[in-house]
Order: sequence, then structure tokens, then C-alpha cells
Amino acid sequence: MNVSSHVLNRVEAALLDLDLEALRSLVVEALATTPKLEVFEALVEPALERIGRSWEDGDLALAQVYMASRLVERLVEEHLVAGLLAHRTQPLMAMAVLEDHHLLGKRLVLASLRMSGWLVADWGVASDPVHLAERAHAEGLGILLISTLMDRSARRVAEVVGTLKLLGASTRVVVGGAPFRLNPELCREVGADATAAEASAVPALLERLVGVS
Amino acid sequence: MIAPLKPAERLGAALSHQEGDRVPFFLAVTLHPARALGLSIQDYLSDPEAVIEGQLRLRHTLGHDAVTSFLHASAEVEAFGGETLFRTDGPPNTGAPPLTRASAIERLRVPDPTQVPALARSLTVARGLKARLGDDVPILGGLVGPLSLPVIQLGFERYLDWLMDAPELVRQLWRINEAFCIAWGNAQLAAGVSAVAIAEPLVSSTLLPKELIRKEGLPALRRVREGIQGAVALSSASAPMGSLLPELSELGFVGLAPSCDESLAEAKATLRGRVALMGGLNGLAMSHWSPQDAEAAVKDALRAAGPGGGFVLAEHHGEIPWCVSEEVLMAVAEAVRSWGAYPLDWTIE
Repeated sequence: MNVSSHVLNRVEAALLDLDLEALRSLVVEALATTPKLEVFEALVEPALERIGRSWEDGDLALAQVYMASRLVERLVEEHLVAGLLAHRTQPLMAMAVLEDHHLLGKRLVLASLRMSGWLVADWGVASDPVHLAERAHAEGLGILLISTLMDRSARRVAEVVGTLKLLGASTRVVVGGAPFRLNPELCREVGADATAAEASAVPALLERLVGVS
Repeated sequence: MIAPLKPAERLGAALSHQEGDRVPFFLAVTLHPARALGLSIQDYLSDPEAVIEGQLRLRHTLGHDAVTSFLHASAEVEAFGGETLFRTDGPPNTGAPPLTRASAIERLRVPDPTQVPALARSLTVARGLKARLGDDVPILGGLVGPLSLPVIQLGFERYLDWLMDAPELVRQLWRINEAFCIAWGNAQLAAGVSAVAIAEPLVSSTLLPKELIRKEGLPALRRVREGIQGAVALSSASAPMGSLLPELSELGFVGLAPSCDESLAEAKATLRGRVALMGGLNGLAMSHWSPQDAEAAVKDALRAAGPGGGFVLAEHHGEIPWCVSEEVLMAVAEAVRSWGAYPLDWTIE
């Protein structure tokens, strides 16, 4: 699907204006000639990525990224049935927040992944890194995504990684959240496989990770 | 060479945009005294006498220019029915958000901070420190700002959901928070703190839309600042203040602490002669610093913001992470003593 920058700008503007009706019409227009998933991948996902990059550049607020993402969630629910989501060959994946009740980051990442066609189980809040690793191993996860808010929780990812190693698991660990964004060394320090600065960058990161596995 | 000043005089000179004997510095060691006293973090923060002793001991060890009566941010959510979860190797965190339904906001009244045990402990600490230090060493109080409190009252996700779907509920909560912040700030001043630092990360346009901050956030902060009957500083708790810095500098705060990811020199140029600049050190980065890294970071900050006064060297988030070693903290302190003496001639290339 070829998308003109004009149309992409309109989608981006509709997302930032929280104009669900405008967004719906743009998607419906595209659906007349293009399969559903392709519309989301070529039209909606790039617009959301642009918004994510603008946040990273300091031009937009996290609140705007979140609200745009929520709008996209609604569209996904309206247009993409569960069967369509499992369109790719992928390892088993799950995402959890480590030791925190602030779930915003997880929701953003899950919305971004869902829109890109990834199936990721939502494991909610994990209070114990060892149990999290044991569960990941027991369920045969290929990739475990961990969101953190506090520096202490971020450092406890090392316990997840250590336990996975002890168990001989091949699960890869992807981390995210403010501690990793503010301290770029931390991902390496805790032994995680990868990190992304913002939610909309996670689908591309998984593509790379799965591609080289 | 200027005769040595007392910490309060040194800080006073900086806030008056004068060069004192050296650049004042303050390391927000809210957790490290527990280690020094051989206590768990929970036991330490639950015992005002231990906190008083710990703050005095760390002040003696580091030689920094203030102490703090601030205990932990989650204490404030206890005023709204929330809970604090203590950890053995890091700061306390808030438990599940206490306000989850619209009806809870509609019924909510402004809590009396003096009746909340965790906040009352902080007031006891302030009184104890004041009794021991008099007016020589400033005591810094602290509170979470009215825009940021909903993150722990509602959870960030619900906060943003309500901003989208029920903005009137959020506005109502902001109004209650404003009144609470004023009451809590004044209670701390009455207990003996010299100044109150407001931690308000949601004043950053990386978190809330700039237009919303301009329209509703800045007026709310001005009202809180005016309602607190003493010196008030504003920290964005390591979130960038960005292009809002000039507008924040018009709200009457004695000091502003932006993120150290922003240019310290540019911030100093914006604030020069009007509002003191605070910060310059990244606590998260400190965790892998060597003593040489600490010295280099201190020199960078002094070079960028020290000349002309109006600068207080500090960690930009408001709390030194537990994993930062005492060796690094000592290296920071030593670097300030070695390089921070005015007139900072060495900064002129």
C-alpha cells in the first residue's frame, strides 16, 4: 500500500486531535482498496511511530502518545478480529511490569504490538523476579518483555536474567521504562537482550530480535 | 579568598545571586543514612529520631549545605487512602492507587496533613533538626506537586484516561491537591523547614501537553507557591522543563531544578539574576561513576552554572539512588571543596 505524506499527516493530525471520526473515515477509505492489516501497518502504525518519535524529540507529551494509542486500540478492536492478529510466525511472548502498579508503559507497548500484529500475553504485575523467570521458562517463552518505573525494579531484571540462565532457558529479555531511558548503560548491566526508548519502536525491535534468532 | 560562610549564609548568597565563599551543594540522601546507622530502610524511615540522627551524620560526613526532613513521596498518598510498600534495597514505592472511581473524587475532602502518621513523622523530623541545627543549616522540606499527585492517587493510566474522558474530575482533583499542597507546605514551614521543594514532573511538556500546562498547570503552581508562606523551589524531578523554563521562572519560585539532560548553561542564562538554578548531577548515572567521573561531573556543572552565584549544585531527581556508593558521594563532596570556591577563576579558559 502506498501512502502519501498528505494522508499520513491527516492520520497523525486525527490522532493528536483525538478525532476518532476523522480517523475512522481515513481508515475506511483505505480499506476500500487494501486489506485490513496492511492498512494498519502502512497507515496507522507509521502515524503512531511519528508521534512516538516526536515525543522522543521533546515535541509532544507522553499524554498525547498515550491518548493517540488509545484511539488506535479502539480502531484495532473495531477492525481487526483475533484471527487476523496471529498473522506472523512468532515465538511465544509475554509482557509484565516488575514490582509496580503503574501500568502505563505496558499498555502503550501492548497497544503498539497488537496493532503491528504481534500476539503478546499480558502478565500484569510481577512482584518477584525469580517467579517471573520461572514462569517464562515453564511456559516456554521466546521473548519476555519487562516494563519498569523505578531504578530498583529495573536493576532486579538482573535476577530475571540470572534465573533464566540457571534454568537453561533460551528466553530473550526486552526491557523498557524510564530507568533504562535515563541510564543507557543499564540494559547491558542487567544482562537484558534489548531495550527501546519508546513504545512505537518495540515492533521494529522485535522484528530484528526474531530475525536474528 | 572569602572567609568561610555558614551553610545558611552560603545558600542565602546563592539565592541572592551573589558569589559566597563557594558554590553550595546538597545531596538528597534520603536513604543512605539507614546504611550508616545499620538500620533497614523501613525501620529508618519509620523512626523520626533515626532520621534526625542520620541526616546529621551524613551532613557531617559529606559537608553539604542542607539537610532534609523529606521522607518519601508515597507518604503523601497515604493522606488519600494509599499505602507505602517498603523495600530492603531501594526507596519505598506506592501500592495500588487509592482513588479508582469517580465517586471517590466527588466525595474527597482536603486531608489534614498533620493527621497523617507518615507526614506527621516528617514534621517531627523537621522540628528535631531545627532544634539541633538552629538557623545555621537550612532544612529542606518537600512535597509532590498538585499536577503530579494524581499519578500516585489514580495511577498514570487512569489519570490520562480521565483527562481524555472525564477532565472535570481531574480538575476537581487538582483543586483538592492545590489546597493539600498549600496546607502540607505550610505545616512543614511551621515545623521549622527553611524552604519547601515541590517535585512536579508533570510540569514537563514531555509528559503533559504544553497547552494544558500553560492553561491550567502554571496557574495552579502559582497559586500553590503563593499559598505557601515561605520560600518555595520547584523541581521537575529529572523531567525536562524545556521551553517552559522562562514561564516557570515568572511564578515566584526561589529556585528551579530542571533535568540535567538539559543544558545547564542555557538554563543559567535564562534564570540569571532572577531565580536560582539547582541541579546539575544525575543520580542514576552516579551508580556507575568512579571518583574521577564524579569530579569531572562536578567540574562540568560548576563551569556551566557556577560563575556569578545563583547556583546550587544538587542531584536533579531529588533522591540519590540507594545503589550509589558512599565513595562516589564523598568524591562529589570532595570535588566541590576542591573546585567550587569562588571566584571560580579556573572556569575561565
